[in-house]
Amino acid sequence: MKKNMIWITFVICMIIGIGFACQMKISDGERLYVSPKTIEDYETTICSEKEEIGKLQLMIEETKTKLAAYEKADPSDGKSDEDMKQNLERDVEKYKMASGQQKVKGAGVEVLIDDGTRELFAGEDINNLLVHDSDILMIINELNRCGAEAVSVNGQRITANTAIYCSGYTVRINGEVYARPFRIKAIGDGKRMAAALVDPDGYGTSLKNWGVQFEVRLKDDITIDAVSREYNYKYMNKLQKEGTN
Amino acid sequence: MKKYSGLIVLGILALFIGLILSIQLRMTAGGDQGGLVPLAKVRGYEAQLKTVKDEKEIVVQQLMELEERMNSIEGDKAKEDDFINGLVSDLEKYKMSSGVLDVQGPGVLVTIKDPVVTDEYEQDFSTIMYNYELLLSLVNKLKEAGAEAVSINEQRIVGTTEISMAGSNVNINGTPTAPPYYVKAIGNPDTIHDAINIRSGIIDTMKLKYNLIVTTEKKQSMVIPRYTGTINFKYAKPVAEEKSE
Repeated sequence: MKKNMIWITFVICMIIGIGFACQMKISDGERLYVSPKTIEDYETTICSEKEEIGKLQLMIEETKTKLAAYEKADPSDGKSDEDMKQNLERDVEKYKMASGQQKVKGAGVEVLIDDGTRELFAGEDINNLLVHDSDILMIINELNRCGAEAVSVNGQRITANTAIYCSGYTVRINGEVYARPFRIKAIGDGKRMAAALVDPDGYGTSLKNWGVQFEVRLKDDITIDAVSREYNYKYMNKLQKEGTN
Repeated sequence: MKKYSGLIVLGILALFIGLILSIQLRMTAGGDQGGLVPLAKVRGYEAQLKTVKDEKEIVVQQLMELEERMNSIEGDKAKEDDFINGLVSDLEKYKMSSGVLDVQGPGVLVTIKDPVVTDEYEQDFSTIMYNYELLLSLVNKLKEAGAEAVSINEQRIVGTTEISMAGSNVNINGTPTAPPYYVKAIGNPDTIHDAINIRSGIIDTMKLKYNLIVTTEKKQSMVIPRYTGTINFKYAKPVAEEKSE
């Protein structure tokens, strides 16, 4: 009877020991558990890739239609050439506008921001009242979010390559130097853009709360110049079909 | 007394097992309420993501093939007709600067990851997503350093790109994205790398102030995809320029 007990105890101890050992080993890998956010992130990424595929498929359809028109074209008569020219001209205009190298006009908003003029509180940092590059960036970002089609800051068109850089008293945009005040013009759905900026949570409201001067005006007729700089790309080349990674 | 010693040992052991079990159970229950999830769950998502990415690769190849054919037709025509030749080369130029072409070149790859999970109660949000203006600022710095093309998680940055917080996602070009963020920039690798890695610069800020895991890597060749959104001007209309450039 006593012998029996000892054996049973021994077996149970073994089991517990193995159990402990297993536990230890598993918790050794630091990433046994991940936050639920990671799963969510994966879901988002998968969702966005799927969206991309959808967009690409639309582009394929578009290209197919064009290609069909080209291939159907009879080289002998002049009409197909004429069609092709028109097609190309339309595309040139579209991408010229998109690249910011075309002067454009339309309805939109004009945003005026300037350094604050109120008295400083005792010990307050003057930076609270000044307009920074990040403020301009955030406003442009906000305008883009609300569907702005063309944006300019103090007459400088914002393109894919525009950097806005604060250097002391001045701000450099597209390599040109500007000082306050800043006049941001945007063509697009004016009401939507203005509403987003002056919203209680909007960026314009928060600027105003800091004491920076901020003003939005809806305008029917805004002209935005083409970018003054000619782009020469030194580093990037069009991807050739063989060169896909 | 001797008779019962085995039973006492057994009783103590049973108590231990009970305790351990209850601790285990409590931990698992906590996990279900938005705490941690097992890593194994992530594997499934990884596989799914890979399938979707492969699918996308096929679609991209298909699109490029079609475009190749279009280009060759246009090229043939361009040889015959000077006017078309001009249009085709203009189109290429404008497409390049509006970011609707896949490009490749040398540059820098910046990888931004959220801080490692340390505390069980702080994982419901992502640091980099909450502070998306860091991404905005990084892109601006990259452009300032001469980047010719920039993308974040395969979303090409163009003039009208917005980076905005929508619910628990960061939307770029209207497409939801999630960490880890891979920011690619084509340009002079040395200039870009050194410009963003300046002391208390953007990368330093991300690392020290926000505890993000950031790595920068110079690359000899990188591919940056095109902007896949639709370009459609509803408000902006082109203005004919008097003087030709």
